[in-house]
Amino acid sequence: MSNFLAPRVENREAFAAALIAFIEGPLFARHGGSRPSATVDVSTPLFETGVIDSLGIIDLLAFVETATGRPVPMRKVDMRYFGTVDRITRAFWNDKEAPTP
Amino acid sequence: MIREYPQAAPVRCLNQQTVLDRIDARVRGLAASMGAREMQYPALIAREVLEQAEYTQAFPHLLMSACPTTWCLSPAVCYHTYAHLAHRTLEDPMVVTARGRCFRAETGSAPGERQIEFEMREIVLLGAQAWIDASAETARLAVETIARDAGLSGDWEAAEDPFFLPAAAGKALMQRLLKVKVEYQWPQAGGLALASINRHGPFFGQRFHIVMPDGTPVHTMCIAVGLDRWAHHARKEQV
Repeated sequence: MSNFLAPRVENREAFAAALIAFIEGPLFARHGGSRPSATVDVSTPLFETGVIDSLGIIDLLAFVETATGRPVPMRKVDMRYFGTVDRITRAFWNDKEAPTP
Repeated sequence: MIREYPQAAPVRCLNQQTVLDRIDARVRGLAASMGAREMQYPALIAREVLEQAEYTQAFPHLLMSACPTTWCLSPAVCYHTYAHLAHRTLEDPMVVTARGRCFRAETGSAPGERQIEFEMREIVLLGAQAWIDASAETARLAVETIARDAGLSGDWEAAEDPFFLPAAAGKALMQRLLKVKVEYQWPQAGGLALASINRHGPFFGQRFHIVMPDGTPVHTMCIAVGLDRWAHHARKEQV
């Protein structure tokens, strides 16, 4: 079970930035994934390159669920929705349904 | 009066066995069209082979021992292939096929759906990733055709293996995410998996030291067809 806490964010850009900070910070520190030479940006492939491995994905899902306030349905565990930070943001962040304080 | 007794696999009369054999012949034909060499593997497999494949870590709950320390009942056909080809350099891509009896300690069993002992035809591919990817598409279409001909039209769905440890949940999610395992599921039996295509990447190449001419580990893929399930559900007149 993940014990990372996602920060409270209010819009799409902030969600993407928080996600990148999470991947580059706590996720790498905890799992030591094969971090690419360049920094992670919104279009960095997260899985094919090993940025996120089988341990990191659990924390990634937990981050998304906590930040959005909604569970990730199994049908959406798909590269179309999880391949990059941009895809995750588009698939799971909705400004109108942002979690309320 | 026929007395029922516990069975790990269905007892079949000749006609029923013929249905299974005919389905197998179609899958074997697919394997032949891919240039496969046919192999016959034993039902027992050395525990050390399964340890090398990390099966004992990932699926200890399914493993059936034949003796305490040395031999196990094969849980799948393809582990024999990797062990047989271990420490080899493959000059060309290789396709191997075999039909074998497999054994898994399922908690519940139902004939033709989930059995302790079952027959599986596997087609195992070893080679470069691009060739594996292209072959997967060919196999996917061919399996669909064979299934449709047997009255078993279904759908390919992303799937994951039943890993034992809760910590392996991430592995299962990764399998689903990367679509390394897809199952051909038959909706009329609640999505029963009739076949699966499993892409392992370089995992078994690394674990068994099977390499390409340039020294890099081969990528592997297996196409697994559960013959008992097909035989149980197929429209017999179409097989």
